[in-house]
Amino acid sequence: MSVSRRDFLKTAAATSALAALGVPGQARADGGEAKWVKSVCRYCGTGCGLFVGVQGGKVVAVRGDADNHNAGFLCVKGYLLPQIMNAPGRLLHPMIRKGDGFQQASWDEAMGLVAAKFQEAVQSFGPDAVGFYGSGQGLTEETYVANKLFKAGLRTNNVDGNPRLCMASATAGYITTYGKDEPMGCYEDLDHAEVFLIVGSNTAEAHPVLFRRIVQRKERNPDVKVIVLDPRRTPTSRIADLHLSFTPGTDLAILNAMANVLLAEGLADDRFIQDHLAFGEGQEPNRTRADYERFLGDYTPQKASAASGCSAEDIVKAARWFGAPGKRAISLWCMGVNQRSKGVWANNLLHNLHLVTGKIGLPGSTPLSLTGQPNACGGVRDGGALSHLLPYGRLVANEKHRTEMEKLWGIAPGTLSPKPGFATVDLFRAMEEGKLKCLYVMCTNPGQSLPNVDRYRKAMRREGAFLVVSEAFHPTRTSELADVVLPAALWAEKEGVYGCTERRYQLLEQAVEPQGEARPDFQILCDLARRLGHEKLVPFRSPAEAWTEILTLTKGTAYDFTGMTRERLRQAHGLLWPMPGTEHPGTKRRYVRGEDPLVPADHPQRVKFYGRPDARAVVWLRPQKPPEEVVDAAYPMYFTTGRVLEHWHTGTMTRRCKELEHANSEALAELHPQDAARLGLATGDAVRVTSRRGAETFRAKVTEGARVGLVFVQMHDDQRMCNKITIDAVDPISRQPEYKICAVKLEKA
Amino acid sequence: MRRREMVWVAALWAAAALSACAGAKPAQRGAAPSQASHPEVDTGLETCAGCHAQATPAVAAQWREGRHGMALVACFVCHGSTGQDFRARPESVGCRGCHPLQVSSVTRDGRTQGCFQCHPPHALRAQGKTSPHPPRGT
Repeated sequence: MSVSRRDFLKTAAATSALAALGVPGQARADGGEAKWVKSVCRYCGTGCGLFVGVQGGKVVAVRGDADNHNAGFLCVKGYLLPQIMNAPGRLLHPMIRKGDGFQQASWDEAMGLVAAKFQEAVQSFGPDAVGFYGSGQGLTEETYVANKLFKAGLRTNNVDGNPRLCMASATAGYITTYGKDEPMGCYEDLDHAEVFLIVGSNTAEAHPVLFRRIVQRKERNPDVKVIVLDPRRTPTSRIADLHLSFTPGTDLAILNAMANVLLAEGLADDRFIQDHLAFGEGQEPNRTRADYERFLGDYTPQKASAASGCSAEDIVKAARWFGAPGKRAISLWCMGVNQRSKGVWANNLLHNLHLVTGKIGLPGSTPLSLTGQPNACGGVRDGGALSHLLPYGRLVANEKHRTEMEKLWGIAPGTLSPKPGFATVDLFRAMEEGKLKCLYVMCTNPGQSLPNVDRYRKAMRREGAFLVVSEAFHPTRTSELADVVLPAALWAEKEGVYGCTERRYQLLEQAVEPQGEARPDFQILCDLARRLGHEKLVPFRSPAEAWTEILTLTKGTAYDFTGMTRERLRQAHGLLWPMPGTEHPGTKRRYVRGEDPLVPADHPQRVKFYGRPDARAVVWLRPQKPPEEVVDAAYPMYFTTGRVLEHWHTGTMTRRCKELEHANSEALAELHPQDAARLGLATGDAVRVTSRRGAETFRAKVTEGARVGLVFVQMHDDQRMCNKITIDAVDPISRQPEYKICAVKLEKA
Repeated sequence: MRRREMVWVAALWAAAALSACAGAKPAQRGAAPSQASHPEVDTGLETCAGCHAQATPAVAAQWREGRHGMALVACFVCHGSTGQDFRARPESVGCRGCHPLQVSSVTRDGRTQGCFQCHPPHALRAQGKTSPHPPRGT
C-alpha cells in the first residue's frame, strides 16, 4: 500500500509506544523502506482489520483498517502489537529438555527427536497413543496441515484444540438448533438492532471494538434498549437499561421464563412457528408447541425469580422489550453461557427466544455468539480440527463423511478412523492415565489455561509422557513442562487466513521475516509430516497451496467458499461465506432468501433452515439444572473468572507490553463490600481462595460491581493462576469445561 | 502510602494537569516527557480513574461519560504510566495512533491542528462545529 513517508513516520511514532511515549524521530533512525502490510489483529474473535507498518525489516506500527468492519478502530492491545514482536522472551532456537533445564538444539536434532518419539509411540501402542492440541489462534492453513497429518496420516482422531474450552457449547447449540454450525447473522446487525440482549458477556472488555459499535448505535438511537444478564456488574452494564444479576447457574430458568412471557402475552410469531419450527426434548424433535407451553408453565417469572434471585418484574420487562412487535432484537453471548456444564442447553434457550418471536434472519434480529479467539471459527470449527470432526461440517462418526474425505484427500478407503478422539479434558486425562504417550501442543498454553490445572500439569510431566510445544515465547507455563520447545514465527512473521465471529475470513499477509531461527507452524508441521513419511499428504510449498486444496473441500457443503480465492482475499477487507463462486459477493445473512445462495430464489418463505432435514429449526425444552458444583457450608462462595481489556488469555503476549503490564497485570480477587466486611478484608489484603481442587492467594479488591457471594479473578496472570481453583467438569454434549462456576472458601492470608 | 495522603497528592497532581489542559492551546510536538507522577501508587490495585473520581471528580466524570471512558480507553493510553513516560499534557500526535484518518484530515504541510481545540480534553466530544474529518470512523 502506498503511504507518504511523513504519514508513516508519524503513525509509527505514535503507535509504537502510544501517545505517552511518542518520539517522532525514533522510527526515522531505523532507516529502510517504509510500507504498510494488510493484516488482522492477533487477539480476540472480533477480527479487526489493520495494517502493519514495517520499516527496516521490523514491525514499527499498526493502523486500523478503515475499510474493514472495525472502521479503523482497534483496542489498546491491538495498537500495542508492534511491541510483542521484539519483546523479551521470544524463543529464537529449538530447545530440548536436559534434566530440569533446556539446551539449545538444531532444528534437525529437535525435529528428529519429535518424529522418532511419535513414530515409536504409534508403533508400540497404536495411533491413539499420540495427539495434537491446537488453537483458535493458529492460522487456518497450519491447523489444516496438523488435522490432515494426524487424522489421515497417523490415523488418530486425537486432534483437539482450545476452542473446546471456549466455543464448543456455542457450536453444539447452533448444530442442535439449526443443524449447522456458525452464526447466521453478522456485525452489521449491530447497526440495526433496537434491543440488545447481552448474556454472560463482558463485551466492553472482551470485544471492545464491537462494544464501541453498540455504544454508537445506542448514542444515535436513544430508544435502543440494552438488557444485560450477568451476575457481575461489569463495564458492559454501564450501557444497560436493564441489568439482571442472578445466582450463578440459574440463567436457564430466566431464559425459560422470558419465553413463558413471550408466549403468554401474545408476543410469539405464530406464523413463523407454524412454518419454520419443530419442538424437541432430549435429542429428537419429538414434542409439540403445546408440550412446550406446558413445559414453560414451570417457569413463571415468579418461579424463575425465586430460583435466580433477580426480580420477576425485571424478567417480564426483559421479555417484553425483546418481544416487542416490530422491534429488531439481537442476542450476544460469550463464555458466561458457553463455559458451563449446561452450556449447550443455555445456548438452545437463547435461540428459542429468537425462534418463537421470528426475530431471526432480519437486519438487526439474530442470535450472534461472540467468539473468543481470532480463528476458532475459521481454523478449528469450520476446518474440523476437533476430535469428533472432519473438515467443513463432516463428522468422524459418519461413514458417508469419512468416505467423502477419503476421496477428497486421495487416501485409501478405511484410512480414517471411525472412532472420535479425545476432547480436550479427556485428552489430558488420557495423558494422566498413560494412554496418551506423545502430545504436540501448538500456539496455546494449557499449562495455565486448563481447568483444575495442577492436575494436568502433573500429567504433562508424567514419566513416559513426551510433550512438544510450538510457541513464540519461552518459558510459558506450558513450555516449561515440555520435552521439546519449537520456536514458532509470530503473527506478522507468517501468512495465513483467520476466520472470525461473523463468518468473515481475512488474509494476514507476511510483513517481516521470523526472528532468529523461528519458523511458521505451517513449515514446522510440513517438516514433521515429511519425517513421519507422510509428505505426500501435505506436499505444500506455501500456505497458498494449502488454501487452494481447502477450497475444494468446501464445495457442495453449507460452508461453500470456493469463490474465496487467495487473490480475492488479498484484495478484500474480509469476505463472508457462503461464497460459492468468484463472482459471488459473500453472504451477510445465512438462511435468508435473496442473501444466502443455498436458499432457492423461489423459496416461498423468507428463510429456510436448510441445515435440518425438514428445514425446521428446533425449539428445545431444556430445564433449569444447577451447575456441577454448588455452594455449601464448607465452600460457601461462588468463584468465576474472566478477561480484562488490557490482556489476552494467559498473557503470554500482552504481559510483555510494558504499558499493558502496567495495567491490570496482576490477578486480583474482586469481592463485594459485604463479603469483604464479613471476612475482615480490605482492598490490598491477601486472601486465600480454596476450592475442592486447589488454592491460590490473591490480593483482594473490594468493589461495588461484584455480586454478594461471588468472587471474580482475572485469567491472565501466570503467577497467580485462577485455574488451580476452577472445576474440570464438562458439558456432556460439548465437552466444554465449566470454568465459570465452582464453589470456594475464602480466608484472609 | 495511606489512602488519604495518596488522594491529597493526587489532587495536587490533578490541579497541575488541569491547568495544563484547560488552556487548550495547540499541543507541542516533541515536548520532553514530564517526570514520574505518583510513582508511589500501587498500580496493581489502583487505577488513575479510581483515585481521580475523588480527587478531581469533574475531570474523571468527563472522561468516564465520554467516548474514551465508555470504551475503557484508560488514562495511561494518553498520559502514559506513573513512570518517566508520564505526560500531563498529551500531544495531538498521539491521537494519530488511534485516529489516523482524523489527524491526517487536519494536517497541512506537516502541521497538525491541535485536536484539543475542538475536542475538549477528557470529554473529547466536539460540539456545534462542522467536522473537518471524513465521515467514516467517528
